[in-house]
This record gives sequence, structure tokens and C-alpha cells, in this order.
Amino acid sequence: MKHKTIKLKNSVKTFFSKPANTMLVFFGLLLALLTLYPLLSMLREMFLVHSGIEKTLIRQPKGSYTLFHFIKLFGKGEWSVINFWQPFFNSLSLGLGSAIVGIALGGVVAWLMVRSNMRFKKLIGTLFLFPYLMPAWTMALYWLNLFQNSRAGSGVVGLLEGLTGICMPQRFVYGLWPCIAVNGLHFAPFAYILIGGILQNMDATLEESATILKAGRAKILRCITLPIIMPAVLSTFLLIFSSGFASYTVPIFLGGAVRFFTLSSKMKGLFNAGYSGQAYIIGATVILMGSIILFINQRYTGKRRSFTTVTGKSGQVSMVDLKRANTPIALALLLFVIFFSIVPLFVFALQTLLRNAGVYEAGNLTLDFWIGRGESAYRNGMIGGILFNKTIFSALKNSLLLSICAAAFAGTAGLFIGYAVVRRRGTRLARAVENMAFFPYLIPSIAFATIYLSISSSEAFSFLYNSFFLLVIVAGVKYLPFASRGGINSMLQISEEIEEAALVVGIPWYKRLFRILLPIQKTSILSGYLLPVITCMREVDLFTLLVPSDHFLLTTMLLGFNQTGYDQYANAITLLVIVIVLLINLLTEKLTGASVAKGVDGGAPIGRK
Amino acid sequence: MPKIELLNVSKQWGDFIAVDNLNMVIEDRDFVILLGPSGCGKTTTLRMIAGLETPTTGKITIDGVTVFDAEQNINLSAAKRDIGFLFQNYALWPHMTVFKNISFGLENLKWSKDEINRRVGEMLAMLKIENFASRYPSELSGGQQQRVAIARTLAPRPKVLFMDEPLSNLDAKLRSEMRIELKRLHADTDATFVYVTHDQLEAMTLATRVCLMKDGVLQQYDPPLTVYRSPKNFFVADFVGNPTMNFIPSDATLLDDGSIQLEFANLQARFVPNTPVDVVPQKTILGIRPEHLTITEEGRIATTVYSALPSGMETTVKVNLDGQLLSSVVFGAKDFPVDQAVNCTIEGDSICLFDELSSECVAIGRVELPNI
Repeated sequence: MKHKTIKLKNSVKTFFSKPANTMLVFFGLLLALLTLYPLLSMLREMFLVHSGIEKTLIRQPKGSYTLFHFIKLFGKGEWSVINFWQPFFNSLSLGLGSAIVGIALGGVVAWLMVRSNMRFKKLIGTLFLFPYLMPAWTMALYWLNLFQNSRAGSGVVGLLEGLTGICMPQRFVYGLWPCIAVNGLHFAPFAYILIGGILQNMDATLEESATILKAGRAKILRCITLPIIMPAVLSTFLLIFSSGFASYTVPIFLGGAVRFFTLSSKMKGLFNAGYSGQAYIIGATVILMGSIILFINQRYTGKRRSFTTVTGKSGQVSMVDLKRANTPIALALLLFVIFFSIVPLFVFALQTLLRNAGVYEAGNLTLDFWIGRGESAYRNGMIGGILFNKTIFSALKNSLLLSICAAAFAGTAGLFIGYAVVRRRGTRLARAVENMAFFPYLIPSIAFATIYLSISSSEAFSFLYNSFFLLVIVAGVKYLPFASRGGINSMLQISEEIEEAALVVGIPWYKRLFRILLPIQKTSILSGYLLPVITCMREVDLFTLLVPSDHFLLTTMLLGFNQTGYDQYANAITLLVIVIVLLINLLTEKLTGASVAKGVDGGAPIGRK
Repeated sequence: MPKIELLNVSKQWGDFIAVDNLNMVIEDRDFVILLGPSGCGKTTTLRMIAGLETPTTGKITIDGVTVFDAEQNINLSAAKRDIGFLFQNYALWPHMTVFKNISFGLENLKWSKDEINRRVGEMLAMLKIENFASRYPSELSGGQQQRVAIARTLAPRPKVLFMDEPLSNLDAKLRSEMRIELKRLHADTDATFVYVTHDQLEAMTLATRVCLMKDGVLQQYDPPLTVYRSPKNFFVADFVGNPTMNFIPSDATLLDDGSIQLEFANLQARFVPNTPVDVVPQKTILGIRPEHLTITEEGRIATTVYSALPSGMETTVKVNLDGQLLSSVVFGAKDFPVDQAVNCTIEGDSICLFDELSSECVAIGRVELPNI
């Protein structure tokens, strides 16, 4: 008996003598608290009676268990169709549509950039990434600025009608199709990055050897190139699909006017109407969908025919000569990317200069919304133009501070998780921590926010309610998947021997980490801190339920202005956010070579050597 | 019959000249090896002949057909050159089985199904990979992948076969086995082989002719033993052979009888060229292969043993001559204690004399040492 206790004591002691183990245990507990506990508590909420209308309908005290929400949401009748099935199929269509548009567009551009001798590659490559750097909702706003018209929705005249008098039909301005177009445009650069990266890394000798065996260009593309890049295409498809399926802000901008709901926007609606239980069920549905997609993705890529690209010396890949079609294709593509990268900035700027929205005349131009003071500004419901406005500056300050805190949390946690997981790779604990750190990725932002809302509303955690700290935690945990992936990848690149060489001369673990491992991977670690700043600056979905007031953050403020009809202010803030995001991204790229547009692995830029 | 000719072929990338004005004829059924240090332009040359790379200037013909001519703007694609190409990393298609990898090329040639099945079966048997027909490349070892790649390349019976460092990804034992197979394959297939490697041993053992390149310039194009015995310059002499040739700086004077007076390491010797020479530079380098620097009691060069590396079949002895380390090879199982005094002599009639300035080989002959 005594022996056993000593043995146990010793094995515990040995276990914790390895710093990686201590870190794993610490993060295991922390992540269980920050992800598993909220999830379980959300699942529980699906069976609870909440205050308000639910209490009245069910006639049971608040907090008692019920199956009412399920019966109501999935029962027979119109309620189920309107509140679940229609939004569900809308989400499905939106996900599918976005993925198809994104991959078709991104794939074609990737091929042109990597495998053809198209002109203006550098310019197109840079501009094409813009829609991905800009938040998706800016594209939606841009769409509205262009196409809204007197016959659809709110009736404000958009640029197209203002300049040419053409009225686009309502279904082109609001609803499923514009949502697909905007989401597709936003994710096309993402597809371009992934597919282009694979095309670039794909060993060119695989195609060359087919050429020598007399296979034609078309046959090589069909039998060699496509099957090899297929897993990457499929996983891109699934990632875009799940983002599109769960998208919230774009359908809010482009769907509200025609009562077009996706699951996410419906969930918010149900919350507002007091049907929290059903809202949580929808949230769980979205999470379930995300998990299924991730499962399919892992299942497919882990197949017998391993597609790991053997990088040989690909040498100079012979580029496909576009011949006479070169200039027309390049110019058409250039115009297209300019229209969705540079032009939006001017359109946003123009909108901020219109005294009365929708009237495009020289006499209607004003700088009041930027530098207005006194009366003209008061008339617009604000104390001065945005450059003299305290509310905006406090929102800007909050947004920046929040981004920095969240990035500090995610970056630091990602770094330690990366170190611990890589050092203990293969153990059950390491796998559990790795999976838990990735888990928030599966949960759509809006659902993630609701989970935390449910916790902060409970008595035990009431100190979190409406607090800045809550926003930091939510954002930090939500961005942890990318940070920990980045941390794991960068630590994987350092061989264990490098650390062991220090270990044998008796250097303690924190010195090994800070004096040896970090300096080697400093750029990738720095980017692990900077990239979440960008993502957080442009985030809306995650914060819209949790901010103390709309005026708290730039992005939520913008949403507020948009819904109350202050288009000029909304556009001005959009412009501000885009400029900040582009600046931080530029800074990151200059400092570390990483960019939001390059994804977590910081892959080589496409089309340049 | 496939004879390959390269005429004034150059390849430039911007300011960088990868291959500089290369002229070369590859005869039918030759086994030509392009040899040189990395970055010397050998792979580029191979890829230009195969049609995977476009030369900047020059002309290439295969079997009398002009496949590339910069002036006439002719550039046949690799598919139309009737060649086989074995890539360094095998370039097996990861999404196809071994069978499909081999049959894919034959399908493009519009062979009938029976023919394809028969030919693939033949190739599988020939390379002893019948058991793996339905496996995917990722499920094979390096050596097996190599065999599949060879089978795929040989299946359409190409008349010219290009190989780009095909053995460099294999371990030492497998590599020497595959060398034997390749040489046998060359004899069996009647095809012309062009082969790229940086391994001089591979070149020596496999080639019928070696093409040695440096910085894009052809150094020597001769049968391997000629390259070994009569290197054109210092670079060739140094690159070929292991252990490498001994180089001893020496002062030279041409005597009236056609022999050359040499002075090195406080020694005086007479160099007798095999063919008479007209002029000899004053600063020269004497080049002696290790097997020609022999250790004998009667030797007239006094040295001490620096270290000895016995391998059983022979022993490489590093000896110290007046501060210079020279290699000598002693056949048989022998060992020498460190710092032992030994006498050496220079044997044979393939001793080289290089011009120190131009590094060209000025004469080949024998060395006579005076009595001590």
C-alpha cells in the first residue's frame, strides 16, 4: 500500500517535472472552462424555461426543464417552416452558392496567376486579396451603395440609379442572390490563396512526365492536375461552405429588407423576440453542421492515397501561353478586381459627402459628416463630424484596446499551447488540448456570442455581464484556433535536438523557450499576435450581442448607424475600419512577411518568386 | 537511329548564363553522363534536350529531326520528341495505382487494351514489382517507387531515355544495386541514355562517355577512362577519382632532349612526356593519381605516414611530404602506424603536368627520380 502511494507520488512528480505537461494541464483546464463548459451550458439552455414570453407560454417557473422548444421549433405548422426550415435551406443555399462562386472565381484566378503568362500579375494578385482583407459586411454595404434603388427595400437611391437611372430588380439587391454574390466575392481570394498555393507547390515534374508520355494539355489538367489538387479544393469548398452557412452580418445587411433569414440571423431574431430556447437550438444546429463538415474534411484528406506534395526541384514551370487572349483576359480581370478593391473605397468616401443620401448632385456635397461642428452636425443627430466626435474616438479607442488585449491573449496562449502540444505530441492530453483549442473554430461567431451571453446572464458569472473583460475573453478564445495552429506549426519546424542541446547543459525551460525557441521563430510568433488584431478590428458578429451599447465599438456603432439610416456615418466608419485594417496588415506584412491573406501557415506569396 | 546533336546551345536567365555555347554529339546507343558540381548546368542541358526547357540560342536535333532551332523558330514540345524521362523524385502520380501509373502513357499512345495489359505485365515482371500493381505510390518504399518510375518510363519503348539523378534519393546499398540494373537495362533496351549526376563514381562506372561541365561550360567529353587517365585540365583531374589526385606545385624547365626538369619539395626530377611538347610554363602543377604514388622500400621520396585508412581490399595512406599531404593507395590488407617513415615512388606513364596559370594539362608522361 505504502509502495503504491510512493509510486503514484513519484509518477505525478515526474509528470509535472516536464514543463510541457504542466502547461498542457493548465490549458486543458482553462480551455475546458472556456469552451466545453459554455457549450454544455448552452446545450442545457435548450431544455430550460426562460423568463418572459417563454414563461407565459409554457406556464412553468423559470429554470425548469421542458421539451417545449423542440416541439415548437420542429413541430407541424407554419412556425417550424418560417423559423427553422426556411432559414435552414437559406443557409444551405447560401453556403453552397458562396462556395461555388468563391471556388470558381478563386480557382480560375489561381490558375491564371500560377500557370499562365497573364499580364499585370503583380497588380492583380495584390488587388484580388482586398475583398478578403476587408470585412465581408463592407462588401454588402458596397453592394447596397451601388444597387439600392427607389423600387426596392428602403427606397434610397444607389449609385447606379443615381448615375444612369437603371433600377435593378429587388431580388438582385436583396435576398439570397446578392448574399451569395457578396460572400462568394469575399471568399474567392481565400480559395485563390489555398488553390494557388497547392498549384504552386505541386511538383511540376508530375505534369512534365505526363507531357513526355504524350498526354495533351486538357488531359493533363483532367487526369493529373485536378485530381491532385482536388482534396485542397474540397477542403476549401467545405471551409467556405461552413462560413457561408453560418454567416450573419451579410444577410442582416442584404436580407432584412425582404425578410430573408439565415439560421444565424433567425437566431438573433428569436432572441430578440424572447424565444431564447429555440434560438439556442438553432445555435446548436449550426455548431453540429460545422462539426460534420470538419469531420468530412478530415475523413477525406486522410485517405489511402496520400496527396502530400513531394516537393522536388520543380525548376522553371513552363507557363501556358495565352497568346492573343492575354491582354483582353488580363484587362477584364484587372477591371473586375479594381471594381471590388479600389472603387469601394471611393464609393464609401463619396457616400460620406452626401448631405442627403441618394442625391448625387454637386450641390448636395458636404464635409459636415467629417468635420462638421455646431448646427449642421446636430441636425444629423451627432455632436460634430466624425473627426471631432468624442463617441467615435472612444469607440475607436475601445476597438483598438479590445483588439490588442484579445490578440495578446490568443497569441500568448497559442504560443504556449504550440510548445506544449508539439513537445508532447501523440499523447492523449496533447491531442485533447489541441482539439479543444481548435473547437471554437467550429462555432459560428454569433453562436459563440450567445453561449457567452447565456453564461454572463447567469448569477455565478454576472460580473462578466456587459464588461470589457467578457469581450476580451470571447474574442481571445474565438481567435485561439488560428493562434494555436500557428504556434503548433512554428514549433513543429524546430527540431527537438535544438532544445535538447540546451537541456543537456542545464538551461531551464523558460530560458530555452525565450532565448532559443522564440528568437528562431520570432516572425511567425509576431504574426501570431498581429493577425488577431486585424480580425478583431473588423469583427461584428461576435460583439453585437455582448457590447454594453452600440456605441461601444466601431463596428457595432456602424451597424447601429446602418439600421437607423445614418448611411453617411456608417460609410465613414466603414472607411475608417478598412483603412485601419489595411494599415495593420501592411505593417504585419512588412515586419513578418505574414498576412491575413496568407492564412495561418504564412505560405509563400503566390505568383512571385 | 537516334543520334542527338547540340549546336551552339546556350541558356540564359536574365544575366545568369546557365549553359554557355554547348556543342556535343550523342551517338546512337551511347550512355552519356552529364557530370559536374551542382549548378553547373547539367540538368538544364538535359531538360533542354528533352524539351522541358527552351534554350536561348542554338539548335538541337534528335535522330536527324530538328527539335529546336532558335533562328528558324522551331520548338517541338516534349510530347513530340519521342523520349522517356526519369525524374529525380520519380514524379509518380499519387492518385493513381502502380498499374495505372504505367498504363497511363500507353493509353495516350492509343494502344489496345490487350497490348497495354501485356506490356504493363511485362514491365512489372521485369522490374520485379508484380505484387504492387494495385498499390498507390505512397504505400511503396523508395526503391520500389524508383522501379515503378523506371517501368513507367520504359513502357512505351522510348528510343532515347533521359535520367535526372535517378539514384540520388536511394540509400547506398540500393544505389549500387540499381547501378548494376541500369547498366544491364542499357544493354537490353537498345536505347540511347542521357543521364545527369554529380556522383563521379556513378559516371565512371556507368557511362560510355562522360560530359563534364563547370559553370555552364563543357570541360571534357570523352569515355570515362580517358577522362580519368588524360584529364584536359586541373578541374577535370580534381573532380574525377576518389581519393582525389595529388597535386604538387613544381617549377619546370624544358630541356633540349624534350624532357622536362622539375623541382618540387626540395626534390629534383625529370618528366618525360609521352608525346613531345614545344613549350612548358615555368609554374606547373604535377598531378599524380594515388595508385601511382606507391610505397616501396626502394622509393626515392622520403615521407612520413600522417594517417592510414585500411578498408581490407586496399589501404589509403596519407603521407606527409615536406608539409604537403599526399594520398597513396596500397593494395591488400595492410596497416601503417602513424608517423612511421616510408619511402614513396612515382610509377606509370599517366602522370599529368598542368599549367598553374591556365590550369590546362600541358603534358602526360612518366616521372624519373634521381638516385638518392
